Amino acid sequence: MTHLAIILLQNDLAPWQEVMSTFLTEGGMPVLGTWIAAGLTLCMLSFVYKDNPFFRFGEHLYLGISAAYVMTIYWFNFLKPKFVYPLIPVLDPHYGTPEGTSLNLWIIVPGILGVFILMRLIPGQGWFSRITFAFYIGGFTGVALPRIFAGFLLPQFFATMEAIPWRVNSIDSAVLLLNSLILFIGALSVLVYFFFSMEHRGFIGRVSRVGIYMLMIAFGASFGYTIMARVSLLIGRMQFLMFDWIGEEIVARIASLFHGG
Amino acid sequence: MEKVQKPSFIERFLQLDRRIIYTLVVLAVAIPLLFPMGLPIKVTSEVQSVYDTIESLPEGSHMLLAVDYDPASMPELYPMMKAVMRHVIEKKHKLVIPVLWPNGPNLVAQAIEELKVDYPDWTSGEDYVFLGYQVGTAIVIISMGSSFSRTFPHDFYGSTTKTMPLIKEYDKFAQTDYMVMLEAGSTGDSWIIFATEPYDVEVAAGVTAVVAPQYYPFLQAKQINGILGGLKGAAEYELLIDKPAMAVSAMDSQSIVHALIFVVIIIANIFAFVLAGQKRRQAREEA
Repeated sequence: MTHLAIILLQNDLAPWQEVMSTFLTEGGMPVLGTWIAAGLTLCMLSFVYKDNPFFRFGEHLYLGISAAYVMTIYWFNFLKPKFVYPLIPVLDPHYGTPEGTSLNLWIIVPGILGVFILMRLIPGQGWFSRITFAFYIGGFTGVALPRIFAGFLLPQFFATMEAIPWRVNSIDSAVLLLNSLILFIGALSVLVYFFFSMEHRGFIGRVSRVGIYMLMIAFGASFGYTIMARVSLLIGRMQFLMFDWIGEEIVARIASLFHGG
Repeated sequence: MEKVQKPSFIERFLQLDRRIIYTLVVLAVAIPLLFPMGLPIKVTSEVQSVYDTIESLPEGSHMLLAVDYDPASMPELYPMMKAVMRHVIEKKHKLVIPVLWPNGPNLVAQAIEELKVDYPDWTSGEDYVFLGYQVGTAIVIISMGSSFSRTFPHDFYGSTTKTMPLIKEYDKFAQTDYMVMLEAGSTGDSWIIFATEPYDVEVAAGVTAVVAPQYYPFLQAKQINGILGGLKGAAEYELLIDKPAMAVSAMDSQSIVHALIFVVIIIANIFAFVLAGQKRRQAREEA
């Protein structure tokens, strides 16, 4: 901001084009970017007062840019090198060199399956996509299921049991035992709570009530962490507005006014 | 005519305009940024263990930094990423950086650019390889098990990966000595299921505060050896590497806002209980 002001003040008599040219050649683009980002940040933050056209503008712009950005990423990182080049190798900039893509007609098969998904856009032809989804879900389940059992479910299951220290000979081991018992009882009671084939009465009812308390504690912890995350985002934006947009120098001067410096 | 009763102080407090609370929160963030207080930051054991592991690896060890977040999580994970990368460079480890979120690569490029000011000799292809983004999450991770260069034929800058000196010595996931994954969602589950567990590679998670509770069961089960949780985790790591930066400077604001929210929740709950008691008493008297 200060940078832009200095350039404009120094060139008050110069034609507008000259001012712009000086602005751009002297690193004005980052300044312009900062101003746009600051303006959009204020547009988005204005929602806390109430819904308004500035917020709507910022929201729609963000969604549009994100979608377009992701589309270009998919095109340049995936579709072009992995689908277009193997079909038409001559389009590859590395064509004719050892790094160039070679012809691979097998790529037509996943290509057709991809087109099937797009058939959902044509009324009445959506059933084509089921072939692709059946292929994808079947294949991925086969690959993923054993690994999910071996890498996720079983280690988590064993950790629940393994952590219980059966001998208590110090304060540390007593604390560990207490933690392990809470973990074990917590895991068991929450499982009972989600076991709906039995009526939650009597002993089962009491255990499932413990499960509810465990869940409430977990939700409380999640809520605390969520507050922390959202506040971090606000701090990030405030740091940007105060130090990048307004400028560290100006902020320091404002602070010194209160310090009496 | 029935007399209209004026709302009590408690009733008025419980109907407080939310914008007053928002203003208080903004002030609680801005004032500590203007006047830093330097509130103490305690390093937790789960952050310390990440630092200790990187510290204990021999020079030239192979490290993988998985970047799975986008600008929406930048305030928390960007300082964390820079702190971890700085530590890796200082310890002269080799770094490979894949990105599995489409909006993530530019954040890594920016961090590399900023770090190169302090470490101009840190060379792409030799000391680090920034693989860029690839579509397919789990499929990409599985594929990296057999070859990085086949999964990412070109790096972020368009150079061919298989001819790079670092990729010649470190081209498979199994060759990883330590991994740090920066997660704003559940991509970390896929890294654990399809990579670190099958190849028995030690891993730590740097996560946003929102997803931190999802990763603690992995820590308890020793499937990860440390967690950097949110801005606090980033600040702790900055202190450990003795380079306090963005995260440390933000922690005063974080603590003050937490205190404010804590006080508001406590007061609102007390008033809600008092009001409920008053209404019960009133109902009994009327009966």
